[in-house]
Amino acid sequence: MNDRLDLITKDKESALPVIAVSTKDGILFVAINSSISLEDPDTYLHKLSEIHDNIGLGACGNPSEYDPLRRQFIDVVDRLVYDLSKDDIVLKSLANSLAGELRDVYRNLRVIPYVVYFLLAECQDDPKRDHFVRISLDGKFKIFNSFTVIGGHDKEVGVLMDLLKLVNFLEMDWPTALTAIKEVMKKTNIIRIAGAKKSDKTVEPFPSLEVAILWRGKIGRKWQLLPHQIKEVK
Amino acid sequence: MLTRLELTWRLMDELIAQFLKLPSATGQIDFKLEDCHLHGTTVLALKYQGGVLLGGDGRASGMDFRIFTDKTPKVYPVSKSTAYGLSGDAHLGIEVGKILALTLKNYEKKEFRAMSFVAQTKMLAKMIERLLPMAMQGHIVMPIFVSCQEIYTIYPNGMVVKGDEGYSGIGSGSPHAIHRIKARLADNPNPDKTRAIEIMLEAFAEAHKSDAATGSNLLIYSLEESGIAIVRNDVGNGPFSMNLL
Repeated sequence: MNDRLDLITKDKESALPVIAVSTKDGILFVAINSSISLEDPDTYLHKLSEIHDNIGLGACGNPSEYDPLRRQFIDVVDRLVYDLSKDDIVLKSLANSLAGELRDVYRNLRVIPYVVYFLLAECQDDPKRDHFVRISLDGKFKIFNSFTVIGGHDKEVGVLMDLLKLVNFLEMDWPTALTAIKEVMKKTNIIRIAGAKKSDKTVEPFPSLEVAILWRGKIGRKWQLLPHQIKEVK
Repeated sequence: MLTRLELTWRLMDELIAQFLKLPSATGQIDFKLEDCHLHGTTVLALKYQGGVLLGGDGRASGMDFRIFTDKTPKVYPVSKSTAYGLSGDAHLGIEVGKILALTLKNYEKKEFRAMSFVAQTKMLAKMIERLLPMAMQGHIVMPIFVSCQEIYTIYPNGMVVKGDEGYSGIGSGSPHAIHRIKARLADNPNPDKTRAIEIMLEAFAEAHKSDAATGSNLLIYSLEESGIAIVRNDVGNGPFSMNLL
């Protein structure tokens, strides 16, 4: 098992963090996305996606591994909507089945495990009932109430979690929350890891961000991809 | 792994399998393509400057001249820019609409963009084509499918007919209604929205007068670049109310 962990350690480095926080406006998703380029800002590999009316997904790791899983997951949800109804989608059981699939692959000694991390968030009218689920590549999953972070750099993710805990996002609207998240990121090593090196001594460029929101209190589909923040190069 | 089409076909196959268990599936086959104009309904689509109107009456009636309800919606928006009007077997028609709406949403979530109108029409036509054995046993579905620029009528054998004249209609009341629309469009072939609504209401009144299976309660949507809006709604949510989106 340790050899397998060594095998994926290097791949894990490519999984840049995705953050989801519960704000006054809704659940804000922020992902560091290195595939967004200045030349063609509209074509990039999405890390954030809508799963259901009130459920969003963030993924990081190897895109060729998480994208098929994401598509399969959307099919499962739509099939359930057809058989049951829109209101019978339960995040915990869905997350459990996804985690089960990752765990099975991880424990199968004949195949190389997935290098993917998933974050699922469910938006409710009452912010106290929001749910966040974090699934790691070995199939372990954990439920949070107000925010969560995923990523391949365990130490940095731990630091981000500790720093985000100190901010009260529930009283902020989404632009303020986005600024606050950027401030938190600046305090960690994650910007250096994302490859945005100091080009100038005075200005520190910020990595490209993909931003999305699940609007609280909206009827029907709540998901919206917000204009992404392209790397500031000066 | 399931692909988009497989999801649609799997749901369609289940729907067909469910119907093959009905007694009528083993009964006598007596079907002519002309029959598809015979089911009691009036659903009309009419182009105007900058958009399309899609409306239907609210009457659901049976073969034995019985009116089940006068308040059922027969036109449904299936995506942000397209709408679907049905005539024929209500259950099959609504299920087809549900599968279509679900598939469009599924595609949008997976590909981060909406499906093109041509692909949507093709998908609907394929579904209706697969239901041809059902049509031959009496469960005909004949839909009308519109975007803010185009009107398509789909026949039970999967044939797609484009409404280039700027109007189209399905159901037993539609010949009377279309006759009236033709007369009104003769002097003004490209009406504005207010005039188009007047023409449509007049056509529905004519269909209600001449056809026993067309009710007076109407549900009319307008489709424009900016989106879909309700122009008139007498039927409420109706007994067959399906949350399509």
